[in-house]
Formats: sequence, structure tokens, C-alpha cells
Amino acid sequence: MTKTKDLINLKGINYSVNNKFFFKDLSANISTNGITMILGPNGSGKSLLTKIIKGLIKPHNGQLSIRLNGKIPNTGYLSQNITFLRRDVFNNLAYPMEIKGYDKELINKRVIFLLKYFGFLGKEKISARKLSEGNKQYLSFIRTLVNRPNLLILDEPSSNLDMEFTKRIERYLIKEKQNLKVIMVTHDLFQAKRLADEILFMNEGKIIEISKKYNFLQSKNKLVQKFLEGSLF
Amino acid sequence: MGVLSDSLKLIFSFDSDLYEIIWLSLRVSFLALILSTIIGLPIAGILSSKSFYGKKTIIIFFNAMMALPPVFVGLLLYILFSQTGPLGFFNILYTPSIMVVAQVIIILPIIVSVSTELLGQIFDEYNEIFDTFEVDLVSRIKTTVFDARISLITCILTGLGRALSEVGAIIIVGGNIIHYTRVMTTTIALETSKGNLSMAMSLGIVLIVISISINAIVMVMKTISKKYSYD
Repeated sequence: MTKTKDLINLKGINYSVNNKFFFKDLSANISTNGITMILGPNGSGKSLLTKIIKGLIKPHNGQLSIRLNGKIPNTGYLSQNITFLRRDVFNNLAYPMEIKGYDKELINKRVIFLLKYFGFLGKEKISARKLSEGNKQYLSFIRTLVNRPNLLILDEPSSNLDMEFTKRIERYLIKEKQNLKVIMVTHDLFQAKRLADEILFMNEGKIIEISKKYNFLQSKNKLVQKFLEGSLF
Repeated sequence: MGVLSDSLKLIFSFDSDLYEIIWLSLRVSFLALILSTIIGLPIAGILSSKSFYGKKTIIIFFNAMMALPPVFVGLLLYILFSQTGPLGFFNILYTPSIMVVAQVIIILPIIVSVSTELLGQIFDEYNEIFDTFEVDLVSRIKTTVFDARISLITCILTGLGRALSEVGAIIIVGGNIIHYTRVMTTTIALETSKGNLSMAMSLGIVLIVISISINAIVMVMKTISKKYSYD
């Protein structure tokens, strides 16, 4: 039996709401290794793209093929819209494992490990919904890791975070990227430069460029150049 | 004042007839409440969590049923379960069983409608968590019901209050038979018409005490839930 080739491929994706096209014939081949950062101005379709890749939104046409290690990946997804159950920090982290039927001991071990690793131990009995916005976003990031994903899709995971929390997340991503494919939306060009192996740049529902970080930063594309210069569109 | 003191005497003398009536009332109402909850919560869970054809019609139906006059429920059940009726073979007319059925029909719409609204709000909020972690429908309903448990208990207790104070339906289907189907509300109606005001008043006092107790429990639960709320 031949092993299926790893790929993250979007082909001819169309998505519209009330006859307004958000994506028209969108295609891209995203690297299956390292960190892919999605950049672009507001409304360019970055979040929509991550939702389609995660499978939360079904495109009207087109094909989405994702294989990592020859299999459909175990995907962790962090949305911009952060919601927690009406439970404490511990039980919010335990939930993704509980519904997969893991036993209590294993859940305890994993949750405590993550709380320790990310310096959140001691807050496990606090209501997750009563945390500060920054802590909520940080906890939400931790929650995406509970089920040990091998594909991590993050939609602006550090938009509300201070330097310390951002550093912890970035360190984790850099440390784990050998075993973890990351697709991450950001508005922070510096963060993209720090983390990216590959950059996907979007504007008005189109993928303008997808290339290795070095090539992207040297891009001849006018829109990319303007974006890199920080000038307004 | 004479009526009041006589009725208090009746209560504190632990009159066996009086307590038999109170006990039957509580039994019928609690059983109806348990059945309505067992039937109503899954219906509310599905209505609040799933989109399907006819869902709005079902919600409108249950909302409309909340305003159904109990006397009419009694009349319908009487027609259905009388000897010549299509369900007459059950032979439960003028028994406590049909009183439970009548109360279920009266309480169920309250439990379904209020719970659907309550669970719907939480479900909408949790939807992205459920989609993200690929939670199946049964687990979605379980999670939502669990997280809404305190508010749901409040809603269920409202149903109990409605059941205990109901008179129109059970007097028709129960027949107000002494030592068998006579409950607090039907006894109050009967004893008042007979002029036995102390018996009627004592049951009225018991009803008020129960009603105040239910409301106090609701209030305490709301306070506790606020204090220990994860919201």
C-alpha cells in the first residue's frame, strides 16, 4: 500500500453569501511543514480561509485536501471569537478530552502538564469566563493543544496578549514545529518575520502571494511591497 | 378570625383527611413534574440544538399550549378516556393516573418552551466550541443541559407551582372522589361551595406555604448560582 502524499491543498474554492463572493476560484498549496503565517488587511478573508481549512465553513464549490503523515490530521483550532463553558479553567481544558472519552487520570495528567508548562497552574479553579481578556486568549490557546493536534490553526492568537504571554506561545510554536504544522493569522508583521517559514498574503478574497518567508520579504508584487512598507492600501 | 383559627387548628391537629389530600396533591404534582421533565428536557434539547423542517411550528405549538385553558384539557381528556372514547380501554378516568396525565399536558409546554429558550441561548454561544471540538449531538445537549442546570431547576419548579395550583382539568378527569382523587385545589372548590370554610382555608394556607417554599427555593438557588456561577 502506498502512503498518501502529505498535502494542504485548496483547489477552486468558491464561497459566497447572498450572491456576494468572498472567495472565487481560490487555490493554494500550503506547505505541510513548519509555520505558515497568513497576512493581509482586514476583510481580506484570512479568518474565513482558516475556518474553511478547519472545516467549520463548507465552501460551495472546490476541493480541500489535507493529509499529514498520510492521514487526515488531528486539528486544533483557535478562533478570534473566544468562548468558554460555564466551568472553571481546569474543566474547560478537560472538556475536549472528556468528549473524546479519555479516562479521568489521563485527562488530569494532560491538563496539569499544560497548566504547568504554560505557567497557568494555580488558576485551575477560577471560572474561565471571569478571566481577563488576555488570560482568556492565552487559555484558549492552551485549550487547542489538549488533544495533541498535529495541525494547529490559529486566528490571531496573540492579539490581546502582553509580551510575556506572546513570547511563551511563540517559543512553544518554534519548539514544536518539527512535529506540528501551524497555520496562523496575524496582523503583526514582526511576529510573521519571527515565526514564519512560509507566508500567505491575501487581499480582497484573493491569495496574492504564497512563498517562503525570505522570498516573500523580497517580493516584487506591488501590494506585498506596500504592505511590507506599512503604507495604507 | 374564627375561620382562620379553625383552619390552623385543623392543620396542627394533623387531621388525617386533610393530610391525605395534601399527600395526594403532592404525589400527583411531583409525578407529573418528573414525567414532564423527562419528556420535556430532551425535546427542548433537540429544539434548541438542531435545525430541522417544522422546528418553528413545534416551538409555536408548545408556546401556544402554555396558554391552553386547563378546563379544556380536562374536557379533551374526558372525551378521549371516557368509556365510549377512543382511549376508554385504558380505564383510567376518575383515577389519580389521569390526573397525572392532565398535569403533564399542562406543565409540559411550560418546561419545553422555557427550557428551549434557555438552552438555545447557551447552545448558540457554545456552538463554535462544539464545532471546533467536533462534539456529537448527544454530547452537545448533555453539555448545554449540564451548564444550564441551575436555571433549568428554576424553570422546572415554576412547572411544579403550576401543577399544584391547577384545578380545572383534574376536577373533570379526577372526579374529586373522596379518599381517592380529591386534591387540595378541588377540595377548596368543593368545601367552599358547601360552606365548610375552615377546611377550605386550611388547604389554602398549605397551598400558600408550599408556593412560598417553592419560590424561596428558587430564590435561594438563584442566589447560590450567582455566587458560585462560572458565568
